[in-house]
Amino acid sequence: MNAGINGNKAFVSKRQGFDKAKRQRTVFLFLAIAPSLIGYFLFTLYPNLMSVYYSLLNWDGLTDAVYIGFENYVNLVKDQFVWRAMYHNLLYMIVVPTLIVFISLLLAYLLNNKSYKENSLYKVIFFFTNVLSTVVIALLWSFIFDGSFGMLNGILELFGFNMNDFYWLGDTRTAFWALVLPMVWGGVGLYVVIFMNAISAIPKSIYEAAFLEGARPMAILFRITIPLIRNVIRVCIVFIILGSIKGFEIIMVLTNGGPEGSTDVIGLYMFNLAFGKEYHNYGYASAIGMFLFVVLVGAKLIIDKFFPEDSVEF
Amino acid sequence: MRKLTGIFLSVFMVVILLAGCAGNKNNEPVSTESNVNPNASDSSSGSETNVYPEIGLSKDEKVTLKMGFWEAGSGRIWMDLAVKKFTEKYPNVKFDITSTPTLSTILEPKIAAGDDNDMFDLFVPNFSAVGQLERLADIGKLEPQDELWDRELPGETGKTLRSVISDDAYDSALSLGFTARVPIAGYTAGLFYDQKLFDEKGWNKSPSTWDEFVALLDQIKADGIIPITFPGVYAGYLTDYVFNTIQFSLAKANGSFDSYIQNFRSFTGAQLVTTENKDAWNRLYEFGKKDYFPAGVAALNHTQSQMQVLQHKAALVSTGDWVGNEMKESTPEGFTWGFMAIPATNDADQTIFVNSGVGDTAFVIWKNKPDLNKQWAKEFILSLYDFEIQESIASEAGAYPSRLDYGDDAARIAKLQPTQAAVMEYATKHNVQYISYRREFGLTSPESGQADKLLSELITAAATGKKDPSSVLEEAEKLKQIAIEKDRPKK
Repeated sequence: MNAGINGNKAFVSKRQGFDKAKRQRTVFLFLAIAPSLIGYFLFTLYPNLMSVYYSLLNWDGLTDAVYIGFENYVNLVKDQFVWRAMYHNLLYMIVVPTLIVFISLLLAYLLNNKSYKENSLYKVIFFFTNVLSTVVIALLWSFIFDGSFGMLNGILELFGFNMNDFYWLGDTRTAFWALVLPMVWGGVGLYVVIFMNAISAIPKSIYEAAFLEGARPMAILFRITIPLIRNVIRVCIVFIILGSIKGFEIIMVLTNGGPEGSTDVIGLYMFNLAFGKEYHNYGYASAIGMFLFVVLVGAKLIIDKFFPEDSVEF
Repeated sequence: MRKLTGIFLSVFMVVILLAGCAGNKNNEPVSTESNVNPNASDSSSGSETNVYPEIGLSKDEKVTLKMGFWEAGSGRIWMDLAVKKFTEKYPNVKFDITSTPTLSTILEPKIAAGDDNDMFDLFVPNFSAVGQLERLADIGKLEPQDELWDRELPGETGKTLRSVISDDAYDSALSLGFTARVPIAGYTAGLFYDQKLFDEKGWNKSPSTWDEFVALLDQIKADGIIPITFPGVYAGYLTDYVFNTIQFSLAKANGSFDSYIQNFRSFTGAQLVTTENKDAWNRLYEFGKKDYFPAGVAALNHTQSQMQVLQHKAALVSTGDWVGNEMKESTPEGFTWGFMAIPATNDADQTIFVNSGVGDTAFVIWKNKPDLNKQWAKEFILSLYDFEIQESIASEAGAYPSRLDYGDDAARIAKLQPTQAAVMEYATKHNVQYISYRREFGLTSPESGQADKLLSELITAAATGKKDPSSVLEEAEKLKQIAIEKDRPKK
């Protein structure tokens, strides 16, 4: 009986100790994540929720806001510049991620499978663009594209093409596509490193078996490497696509949406509406921000549908 | 123990974060302790004996004035001199200066936050969009400075501020309904060029009629040089500083200037499809068709377009008189800045309009600040009319001193930078009228943004001869009129 009571006491005491430890653990975990959680609520969630409210206002940011209901959204639907910018975004959304993923994969595969002496140096060189700020990248490319003393015209001249001071960013026929180059150049480095790490995680034995079976390098790439890092590629594609919809820094520095709006994108249009020289309307810009949010969520859902997550174990 | 340390550190981080986020005191009254010595009492109740006799403010009350200074192309040397002189004279006053070329990015969030304690006492009204100053004045956020007009300038008995400011600058200052700022210096804008190149080529440095101007551009082009360049990435440099003045010249020539400018300022009628404005845009388009602008102009930024003139690839650049100061490190030896505006008619005695403004070098005072701070801010502003400071504005900042009597002394004129001197020389040869583009209220409706975008994109399209402006002007006018209707202040 005593043993039973003592046993119960021991059990209760052990359970209390366990509960206490669990509670302490919960408190500790909460306190550990609290700083970033509060930061997220204050600096991400709260401003975003406020944007929903701002989108219902006519507000220049300085004077009293006037509530106008859904008028900004009605204007948005009728605004030709929104749809033109979205069209440009759509094109960039197709071209830029395709090129970045293709080039990054190719470089990562080569660096992983070819034992170049300078492999580490190549890694640093490829990653280097990623430590440069977007503005620096844009300025570098402004010098490359310059009509009078730009490197691109200089190189073309070496091959016998006289460009006659042609400004690549000053012509509606070339500006849009010229901007793809700095976007891809600035984006490839990070994904080369990510893909290299993903590829290096694939067991060598799989490659050795394939090699013994007589698989060719292209077959290895498309039948083994890419399927096994499919999820990594998927995440990268999501990042690049969402980034290409939101991003506009390179365009702002190089063309500011010109010539004649041929490089305008939705993020830049929204930015200029909120902070532009001629015009300030945080309300309308917020409505476009909300629209952009819907587009981003839509893009993510489409990617999920057509490129579902597929766990791979090896 | 380690757990305890972990918990302590986590709590500490949370407290620090919360402390950093705290401090929004929107609803609290402005504390006089924010930047005034807490031991100080109101100036009027301070010691009667220990005051500066010339201004009646206490010597004992320590004050720190928070200043937002827009550095821009003119630098801050003149401001440092002004602060040094003022604090030497009034040692109880200190300055906490935020000096940056991107003041608007600090100023606008501060204003939007609505925290008067955090706000500057005085600042250069540098905003990223037009019409912001007018809005602040409308809602009573700015301290009136009207009393300064009748104040004697420091050390100059009998000479009031009003007596040394031009009527035009005075009218501009009062255009908001009260004096929100007094003009300390101004800028002018137009077409700048290298006089040495013009002399070498034998080009006309001072065309007096439209035909002479067009003949000059033809001659420049025939000599294999681009006649006019501008930063196409920010294409408004071409219209704001050059082509938009043509409409006023034409209105003046046909005797309708008064009603035209009244309509322009108060949005009472058509804005873009007036005969004068359409004419100005058509001239730009004609120039575009004749290849008077660089082929890839849409890709040029400020530096690139200005470099084209420094390198003699282009003859004229549309920009402001700050270009001399801005490009002084790159200006080749022997390069001598010249200036011209566009004569819009063929009457050699016509009035030629030159765009000018005072907004970049003037201070406004935030109204909801302690009285003592506002009084000292006004004294500081008045001190900027000291000739030594005005000379520094001319020689170091590369701007136009606003004192009318600045030019009474040849030694002072000699201190003007080459671009300002060039504008002054041009004004002596022509019947020049300076004009600012101020409006009575700003437009914020989305339709106005769309109209401005249409116009902005039209500039490079017309300047490359690709698009006839007529239909775009019609479309933009419709949008502008909707915006005007929506945004006109309700009486």
